[in-house]
Amino acid sequence: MRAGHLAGSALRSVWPLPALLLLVYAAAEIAFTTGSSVTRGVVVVALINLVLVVGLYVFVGNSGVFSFGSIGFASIGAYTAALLVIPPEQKAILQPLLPKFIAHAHFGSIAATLLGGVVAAAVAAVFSIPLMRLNGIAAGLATFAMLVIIRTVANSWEQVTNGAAGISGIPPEVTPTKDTTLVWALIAIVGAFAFQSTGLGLRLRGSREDDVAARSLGVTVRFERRVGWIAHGFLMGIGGALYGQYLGSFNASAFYLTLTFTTLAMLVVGGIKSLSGAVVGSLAISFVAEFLHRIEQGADVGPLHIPARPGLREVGLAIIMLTILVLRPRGLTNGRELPWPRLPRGRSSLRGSATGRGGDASERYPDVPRAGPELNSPQ
Amino acid sequence: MALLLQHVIDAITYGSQYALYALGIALIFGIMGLINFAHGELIMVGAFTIVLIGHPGWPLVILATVGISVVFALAMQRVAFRPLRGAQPPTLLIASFAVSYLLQNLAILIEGSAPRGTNVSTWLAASFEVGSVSIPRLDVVTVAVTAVLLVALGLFLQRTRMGVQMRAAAEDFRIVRILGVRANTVIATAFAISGLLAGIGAYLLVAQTGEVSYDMGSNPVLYAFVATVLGGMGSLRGAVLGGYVFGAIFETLQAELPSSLAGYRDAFAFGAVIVMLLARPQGLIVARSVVTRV
Repeated sequence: MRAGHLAGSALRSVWPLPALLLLVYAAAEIAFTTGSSVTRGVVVVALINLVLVVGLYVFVGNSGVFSFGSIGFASIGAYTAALLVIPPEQKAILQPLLPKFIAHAHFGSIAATLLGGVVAAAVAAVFSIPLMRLNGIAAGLATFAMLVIIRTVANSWEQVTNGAAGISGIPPEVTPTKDTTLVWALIAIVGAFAFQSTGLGLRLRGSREDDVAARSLGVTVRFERRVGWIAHGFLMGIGGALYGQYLGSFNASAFYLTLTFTTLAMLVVGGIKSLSGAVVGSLAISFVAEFLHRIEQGADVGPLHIPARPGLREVGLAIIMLTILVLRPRGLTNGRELPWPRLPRGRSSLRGSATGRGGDASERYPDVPRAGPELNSPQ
Repeated sequence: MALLLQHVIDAITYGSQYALYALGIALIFGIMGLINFAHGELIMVGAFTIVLIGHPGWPLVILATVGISVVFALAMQRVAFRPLRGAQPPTLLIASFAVSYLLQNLAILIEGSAPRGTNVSTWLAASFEVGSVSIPRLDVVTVAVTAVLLVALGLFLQRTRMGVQMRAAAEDFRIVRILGVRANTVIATAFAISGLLAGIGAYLLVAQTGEVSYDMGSNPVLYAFVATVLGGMGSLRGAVLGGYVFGAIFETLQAELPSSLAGYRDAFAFGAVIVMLLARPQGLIVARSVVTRV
């Protein structure tokens, strides 16, 4: 490579970051200023989802191991932050059984959100001990089991979580605004980009593409996965903390299968293997979901009256997700970061695809079904 | 003594139910590596059939329930899973998640989200009295029906041409295709059988709970999924064994957990899944398809 290109290539390697930040910023501002008061609430939810999806991406995208349990960490973040922002006087009335150190604690929204992330990361660290020993489908199943465990505990631990009745009384002044969630979302993107650009992040991505080759080059894999898992737990905790404060009151069911499905859908639709995929996917699905939500509530399109139809949004989302899985299994971004802007040329797309190439045999020979998963693959 | 006997009967009944559900999941997993979370929705559509069809007599109700479940099983195979054949197991799992979500919300869209009550059979609701133990007829029927289905499925897999092809496909799908077995027929048959199992499971479940709702399939599938992991993913005998083992664990936890911990029953059950995946990832009975060949 010629010396003159070095500066250009350095710029290119970090290019996706400012592009994504600008994209999210512009999308949020445009939707917020042009929309009605309803749209403004939607923008906040969309940005919180973005934090959750970016968090999910940090582990799933970089390691290639699916997690169906990450929403459990969001739940932990939500409970932690909620219990810290509710004034002690109110907690004494609503949840008299709370352990002393929680009952007397009172933090501002930012500190509580950060602590939500820290507690979630700590729980993630504990779960990483058994879970990161597993590979492939077994790891996916174990994370799912973890989700059920966290949910069951959140639903039954009356003393702290108030059981099935859930947490209420989160003061309205901590409700995240568009500006605060936008800042958190941009921080999450910067953090995820920084993580995947570190040596550890690159080693983790290497193990995603070829586990055996990565090991042969001295990557321990288990250690890298563990760090990625804890980092993702932190971001999921932040996202959950914001979501809990946005809801004002919630119980364990708010952080279960539906949220797991929607966040996974956003990641898969965008493209699992790139940060751009996580961002684009969550923006796209948020937009479509809001559009479908409008129709779901009933609308008049000219002379045509569409009656209210609860469930329509979810049906539409599921269909879109299935379509993407079938037609574009690697997502809208095809597992690449946002491309460097240039005039379209004949072979540019071909060259770009080399970076997104997976090393898996079943991707190259899509006709050949795989009988069994690698439950026994060597550690 | 009578109490213990009651617990044993309950455990066997639970076990039969889970074995029935688990078998439907293991059958599909063995052949195409798909953990079909939408299996619960096959139970759900079957259950809705019972509510919607009214009371034309039990043979017709069962026939319609099973028929609808089979039709949905074949349809989801054709529309969602066939185009994804050969994808990675996690991708397939996500697709089945999407199908499950789709069917649940279609049910909300069409039938609303409020649960519906129904009375399947007054005969089934009564009990046999043996000494001081009362055994609900439904429990006897559940155990008997499951036993008959297991034997029938076993004979089908051992004695018929399609059954042999299916077992071969579960072991090594690629070789079986090279040998000229029609992949589409084998997979469609497997889905039809899982639909049949789901339909019968739906009838027995509704007879027990008397309630039909859009999300009624979620818990049975979650538990059945635990049973298949315990028994050994991909192994049919393992799924059945896992079903009964889980039934026993479940009943024991229910009976023995102190009331302060009773709410955590599922946490213990799923904790057992993680322990099992770590200690014996191949399960109680090792399916030949999961032995890694290098």
